[in-house]
Amino acid sequence: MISSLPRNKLLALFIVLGLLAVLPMVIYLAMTRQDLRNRAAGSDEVGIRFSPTNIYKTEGETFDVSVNTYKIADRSIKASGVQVKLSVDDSFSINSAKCSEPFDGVPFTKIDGQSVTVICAISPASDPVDLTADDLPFAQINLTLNTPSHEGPLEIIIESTRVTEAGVAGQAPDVSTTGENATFKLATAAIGEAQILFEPAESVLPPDRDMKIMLNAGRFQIAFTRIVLKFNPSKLNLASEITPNPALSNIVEKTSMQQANSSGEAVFVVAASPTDSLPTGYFELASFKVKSVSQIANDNAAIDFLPNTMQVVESGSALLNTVRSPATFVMNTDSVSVSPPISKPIPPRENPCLDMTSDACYQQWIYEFTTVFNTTYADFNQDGTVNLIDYEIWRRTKYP
Amino acid sequence: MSIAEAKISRKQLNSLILILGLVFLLPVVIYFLGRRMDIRPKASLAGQANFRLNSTTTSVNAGQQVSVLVSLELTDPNIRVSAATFPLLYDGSKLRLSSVTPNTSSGFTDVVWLEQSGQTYPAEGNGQLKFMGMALVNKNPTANLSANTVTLANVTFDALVNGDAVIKFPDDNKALQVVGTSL
Repeated sequence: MISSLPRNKLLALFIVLGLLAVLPMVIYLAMTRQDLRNRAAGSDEVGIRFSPTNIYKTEGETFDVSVNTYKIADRSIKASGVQVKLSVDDSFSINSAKCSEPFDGVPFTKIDGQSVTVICAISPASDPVDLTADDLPFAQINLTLNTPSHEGPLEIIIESTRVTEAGVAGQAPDVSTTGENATFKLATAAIGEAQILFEPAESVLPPDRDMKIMLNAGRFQIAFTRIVLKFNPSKLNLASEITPNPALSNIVEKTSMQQANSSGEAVFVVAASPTDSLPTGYFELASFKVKSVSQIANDNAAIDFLPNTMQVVESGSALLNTVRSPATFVMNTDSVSVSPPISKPIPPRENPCLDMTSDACYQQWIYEFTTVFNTTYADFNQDGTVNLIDYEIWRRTKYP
Repeated sequence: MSIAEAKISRKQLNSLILILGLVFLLPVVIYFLGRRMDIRPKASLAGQANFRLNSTTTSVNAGQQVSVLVSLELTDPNIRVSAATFPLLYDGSKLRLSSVTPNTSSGFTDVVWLEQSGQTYPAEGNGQLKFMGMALVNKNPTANLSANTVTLANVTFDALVNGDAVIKFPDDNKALQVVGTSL
């Protein structure tokens, strides 16, 4: 039938059909471009990000998320206000949103379904805020993870941003980036316990000291850890970047040495990749070097874990409670320096030598041989003493 | 009546299975008991290892340092050592422990510290002797264990005052222990 049409009508038909086909594509591209323009905010000199992020949440859990601003540029930037429009995953109920000091002088918040808009500015009578590389919270959102929640990543997506720089005559330039989204994952409630500690637990500084963060996971296979370290940066500094154990090869988040030494807080988040063999028993999570920056003779300092946002998750996405032990340092003393010093960890609640071939059992032998623990799980020949014979029995079992 | 035709009651059948099970289980139990017993005598190397102390100099002045090399000599070439522990005693009024460098570069994989802060040795010397102690461990299969003479550690002391001073192993050699295996 089509072939019987005259040539000019056939041509017109093709043009009309072509236009009809192109029209949806043009509309789609036009909308996409609009969206990009929203996210491409200012001059990319001030970032916006959430804390905490990259963390597991359980169904029914209610928690706060801070929305923070931080300076990326080298130049001095003073801000008078910050605004952000967010899209929150529908697995979350949004309970409230509010501006935080000092950006609560002129607050505006709006919750519309899963969309949140916060516009937070300083009071007109206040001085603008001098931004630094450290996170400065400007808003706080309270969320509850619904029951049931869907599997997979749960996100808070930044739709648009604006950080208004103050002190530029006749202008209010936007210096923001597009921001970094927050990601949460669904976990089930704690089903066990893991011990986390430093090796060595006690040290003399200087010289600079190599430190290890050790995890005793017992029988659990570990798939994810979020570790937060806290120390006094006026006494103690990291002398190297944190090096996570490659057994959990996906480094989700890691505070740089410079940031850690500025704030006295370091976060590292590591997760298993699909090809990783999940670590279990007693194993090293990460290593780093510390140095003294104190000038006071016989000064004391410590590195501790900050438990509030720390997480250890096993292979079945269940949380493990953590039992933590800090590292302490004596600085600028003339004590004898030997390496490595004796550690003083926490005794296990279960016998780690039920599996005699495990590294956790070997570690137990060390602690019992050195009388750090007064248990005798590693007394394999049952002569009442944990000694080298017990080690040899362990070795032959491990390497038959 | 032939055997094939004989009727066996259910009770008799259960008893037969139980007896046969026990008969098969017995050698397995004996085998595992034997394995466990085998471990103990092999872990003892009595009379086949000597702990040695060597120093390049035995005469230093106050303010100088003296180093001693602690080593283990195995008298049987077929013996392999997997772990050794020793305390090293020194005259606390004349010497101060300066540094200890365990040998983990060859032979041993791990160091287990027993004493490193210069405590008084309780069993000897009437409070005049201090000590440091460690165990060195080789976490490897037998084929990778060390033989012959094995360096354990290099220990350095500061000489505090002039006079004669002692650096020694304890008189009671129960405090010294070596384990390993023979090929």
